[in-house]
Amino acid sequence: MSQNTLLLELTGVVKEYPASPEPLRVLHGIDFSLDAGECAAILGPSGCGKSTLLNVMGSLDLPDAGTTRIRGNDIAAMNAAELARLRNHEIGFVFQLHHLLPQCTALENVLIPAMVHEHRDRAREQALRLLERVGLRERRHHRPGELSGGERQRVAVARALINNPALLLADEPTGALNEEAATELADLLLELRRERNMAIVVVTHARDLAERFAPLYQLHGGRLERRE
Amino acid sequence: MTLVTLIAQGIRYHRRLYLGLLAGVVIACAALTGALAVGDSVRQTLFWIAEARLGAVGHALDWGNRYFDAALATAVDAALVETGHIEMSETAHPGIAAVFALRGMAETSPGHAQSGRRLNRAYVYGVDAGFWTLAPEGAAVVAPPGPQEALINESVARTLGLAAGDDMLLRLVRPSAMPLEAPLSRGDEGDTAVARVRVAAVLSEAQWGRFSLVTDQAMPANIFVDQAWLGHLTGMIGKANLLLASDAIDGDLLQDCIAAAWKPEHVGYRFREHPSGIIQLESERLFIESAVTEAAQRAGDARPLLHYLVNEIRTKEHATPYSFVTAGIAPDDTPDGAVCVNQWLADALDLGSGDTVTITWNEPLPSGEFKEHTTEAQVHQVVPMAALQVERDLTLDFPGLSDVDTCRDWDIGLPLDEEKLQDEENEAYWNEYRQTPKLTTSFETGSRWWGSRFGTVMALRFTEKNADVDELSRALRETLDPAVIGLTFMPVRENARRAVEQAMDFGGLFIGMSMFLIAAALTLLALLYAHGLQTRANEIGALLAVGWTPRRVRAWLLLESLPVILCGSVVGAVGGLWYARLLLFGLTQFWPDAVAGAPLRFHLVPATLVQGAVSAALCVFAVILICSIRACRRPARELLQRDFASTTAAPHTRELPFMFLCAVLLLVLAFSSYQAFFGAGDNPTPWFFASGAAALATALTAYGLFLGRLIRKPAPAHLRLWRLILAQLARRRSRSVGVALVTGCGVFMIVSVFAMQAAMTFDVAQPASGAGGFTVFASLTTPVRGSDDTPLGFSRDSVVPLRVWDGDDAGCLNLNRAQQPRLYGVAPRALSERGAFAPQDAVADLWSLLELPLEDDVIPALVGDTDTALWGLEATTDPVRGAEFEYPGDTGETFRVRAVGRLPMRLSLFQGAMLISEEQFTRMFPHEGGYRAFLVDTDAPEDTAAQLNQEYRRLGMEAAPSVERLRAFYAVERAYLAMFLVLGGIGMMLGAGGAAVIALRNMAERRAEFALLVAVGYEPRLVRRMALLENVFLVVLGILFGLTAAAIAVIPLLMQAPTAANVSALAVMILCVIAAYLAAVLITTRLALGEIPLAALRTE
Repeated sequence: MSQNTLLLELTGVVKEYPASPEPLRVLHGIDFSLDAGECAAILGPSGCGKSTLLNVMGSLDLPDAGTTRIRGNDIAAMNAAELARLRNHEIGFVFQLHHLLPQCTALENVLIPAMVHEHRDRAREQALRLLERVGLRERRHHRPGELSGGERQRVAVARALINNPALLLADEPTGALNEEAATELADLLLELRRERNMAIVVVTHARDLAERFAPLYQLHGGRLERRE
Repeated sequence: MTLVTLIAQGIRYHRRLYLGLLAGVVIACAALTGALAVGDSVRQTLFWIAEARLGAVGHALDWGNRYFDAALATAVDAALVETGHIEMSETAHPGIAAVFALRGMAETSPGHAQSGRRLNRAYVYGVDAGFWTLAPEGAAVVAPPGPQEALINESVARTLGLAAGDDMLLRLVRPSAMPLEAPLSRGDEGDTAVARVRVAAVLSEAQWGRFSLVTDQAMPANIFVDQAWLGHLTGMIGKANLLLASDAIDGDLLQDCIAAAWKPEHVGYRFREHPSGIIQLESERLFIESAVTEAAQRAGDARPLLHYLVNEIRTKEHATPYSFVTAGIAPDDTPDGAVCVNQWLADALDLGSGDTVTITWNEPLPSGEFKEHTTEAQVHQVVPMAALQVERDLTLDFPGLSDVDTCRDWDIGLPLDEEKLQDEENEAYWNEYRQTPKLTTSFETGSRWWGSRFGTVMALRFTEKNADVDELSRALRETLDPAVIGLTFMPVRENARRAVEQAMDFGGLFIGMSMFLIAAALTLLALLYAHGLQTRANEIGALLAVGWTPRRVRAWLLLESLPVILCGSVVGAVGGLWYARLLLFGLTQFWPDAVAGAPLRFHLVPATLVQGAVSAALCVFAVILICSIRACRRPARELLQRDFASTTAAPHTRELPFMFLCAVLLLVLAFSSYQAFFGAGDNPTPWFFASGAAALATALTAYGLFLGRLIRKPAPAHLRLWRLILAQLARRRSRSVGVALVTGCGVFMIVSVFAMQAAMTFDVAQPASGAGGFTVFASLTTPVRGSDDTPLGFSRDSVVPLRVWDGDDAGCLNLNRAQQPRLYGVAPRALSERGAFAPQDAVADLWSLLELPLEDDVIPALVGDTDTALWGLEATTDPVRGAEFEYPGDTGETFRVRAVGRLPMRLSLFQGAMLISEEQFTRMFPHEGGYRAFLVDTDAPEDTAAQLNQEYRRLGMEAAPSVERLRAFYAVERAYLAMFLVLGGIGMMLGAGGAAVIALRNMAERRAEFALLVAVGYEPRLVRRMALLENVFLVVLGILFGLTAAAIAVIPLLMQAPTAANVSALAVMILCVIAAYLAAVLITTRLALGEIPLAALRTE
């Protein structure tokens, strides 16, 4: 994977939501691109459409106008199965809320994405390594209810990385964490990025966190501007 | 980590959700399996009953009102031995048995403790030892009855209060070989034989006390007596009318054996030899069946003869009354329409060749009356008296004629004028020449004049030289297939099996009755599961986000629920067995009318368990599949935000199908309402019911649309409590509509059915009603002639007599499928003129159907009422495509009877039967003489019925007001409705419980929301009230929808019978339903929000 390879490209992306009396336009023609292994942080106040933008980037949502290309492939042209495969192989998600399966242990939660593909036997080793890497190997048999907020989020990071994605999309990853835990998580993400040459897009309203994932982009009024 | 682990952990973690699912599966499966098990039990009970009544009998030859020589059984048995089928060494082998079966009455003898008890419809069987060899395998052997002894079954013993050793009076309809109404047949009306017999033993079911060839589950009233003694008592020595054969004997073999073994004398024929060499074939049944005539004519040169008694033979100046005449013996050159007279008549009337005489005679009509005919005939020849000596010698024996001394004593089944009987010249002729015919003609002419529905041939005369009786008998046997005179073994066991297999499907019936219970369980299960999936939205969203396809997520959810469904199915199937036992208990203890008192026994068919469990599992699986598809159809983004509820407005386009549905339902409502009020004529009830159902569906759809619109509507400037409640209902639209659906449908069904059950009335005085305007229905065991001008002492204007052929009861009182429904012979025109049994504008068309000429001599019939057509027979009624039934005629012919129509009311006095015209009836069953049922029009039905019962007690009269008969028929339906109400009530309780669970989960989920309200200053009491109001609104709205719809549906019933509808009981029932639901939500709110912890705000 070359550093100069274009990984993610958004062109003129528009997104609206049905509302009364007229649809609410959240994204107004967003243009954005990201090479493999690069970082980007998107800043903006709550409700400005950051999560929507991230969802569009991660193929969780389709734009109403414009295109989203991942490795040159237009996600609008893909069917549900192809999109699922794309997310499984190329993209990792970290949400503000961890969204772990409450009935599964930490290890099992990490393994969930790996259940889809054919190399399940190697996945367990990988999951253990990842848990080791995020400092939770000893807690691997604990369920989300038995973990702290920071630990849950680290499990969510490990889950996002289980399939070695080229792109990690983090939506307010530290939003539910205290300052110390937030710093630790940011450190972890950056270390992992270096280790895996992985592109990361972080969406946050916290400038401190955003600066660690520069370059910075500001989403305002549905438009994205690069901040120097 | 495997899928199995994931599933196991999912079930364990979401155990509350799956417990709810499990409960739903168990209830649905138990209701379904139980209903099917009831069906199996009823069916198996019918099989058991069929086995118990048939014993080892597999085939039966039933000659009805004709009688054969009991020695025929021995002859057939011998033929079987010859075939090697039965070994001679076998003693008392189950082979063939002849039975003398009669209708009778039984009474307790005077002096008995139960004196005065009477049984009008008893089956009296004259049996010999051979009969008991056909008893069921393992049946306890009882010594056959001796002379003046009787074995009675438990039904007789119970009715009369008799025990072994008691005496009873047996009154039997005295059989006659000759048809009751045939001319020249005395056929004494109401002739009975009475004997006092001692009850030797009371036979249990295991002792073959249930023996019967009638496909009915009801226990017959059987009395077994010694066959020889019965023959002596009734004057039918050595006679029988039933041949029973073991099931071990092949039917074809039996038919071959009877063909080889029968002799003319076995079946009432005899050859008479005259010194002149003439051999005459005669029948003890008076008339010779046409098939026999044809066979005899093939066997030899047989000349047919017909005798008659004409009223008068007259010339212009002279006349002689009541003269015996014979067709078939006039010289061959006698022209058609001409006659020969004997010398005595020629002298008496001053007649000669070429003169004209006028002959008057009576023709018997199907109504039992006589029509006088007159014809003129030219005298061809005068025959000397000496030439008629052969006729005098070979004349037939007519009881009441041949055996009396004077004309005054004649009693021959023809109306005779007492004054004319005293004619001295005629008396002198009788004294000198007896039955020597005064007038003869050709057979063709005579049969045209005096032939009747009973036949045209009374004797066949063989005049060939050297004719030999044995030779003729052999030739006749060779040329006549005994089957054509009705000597046919019917596969009664096979027929019984078919009747059971085609019997009313109680499994289906109970599934129908339990449908609301099953639907309520499935709907609540769907609501609970959908709610559960909403709480797991983030799980589903996370899986979709990490690359699981929606299909894979769906599969995961389905696989997770699969073990629960399987467990629930197993538990439900076992529970279903207990549910079935409970239903059977209810059927035998509380609703015996529903199964016509059949002694139901539980029977387990493993395949049914599997079928019920699999069906329920599939239903639940389908519900879960739909919920899963709906959950996974949402984008991961929404799921991750746990945004399952409709907090955003759905686009208008998504509402369009529902708007369309609402519009269609409105149209249906408008159409059915129009039909109900203006268009449906005499029976608007179904349209009112349709209007109610359409109103309910419209209300529910409109409610859903309203909630959808509420979300789109901008919030008002001033927020009010009701707005908050409505917003909450709209947020969970599926749940809100689902709860309203369950409660609304439940209330609608229960109230409608309750009103239907309560409001059934029978306006018997109305000609268009099910009683046809006749207020009394009377039936007799012993038939009476119809020629009487005052039947039962009433004028003919007040009474309509009916002929009866006892077939199978095709009504609700018989669980088996009738193979040959009971037939009533009616006079269509008489009923049409009275406007009976149909609306005025349709009555003529209806009764004219019975006179419809059909191809291939098929006989048109009307089914007794719509319930019989729809449920009893499941028969199409149409002049072209109507269902057909085959009946064995009295002369061996098989008649096809087609249901060309039906009486238009649900219940009529003829439930379980079919009606054919009297003309066709008498053609089919000439030996079924007289009338055994009467429709009586009287203003005092109770008094009239009591008077008839008293007056005609000797003839086995059972008269009752029509309304009682109709109520007895309706008891079955009433029992079904009662069961439906109970099962529906259980469904409603389940609905109440489900609504409570849903409310509980909803409030538990929204604890943070309630805590927030408290945190911002709401009083906890107010918060609780809000929650309570929301839940009350939820269920009360459903109840209101149901009530409104039910009110529309029951309008006609309330209009028809405002008093019978028992409005107060209905109101109590509705209040109970409302109270149950309100109690459920009150308790739930109290439980969920007794305390509102602010800690809920901190809970993620």
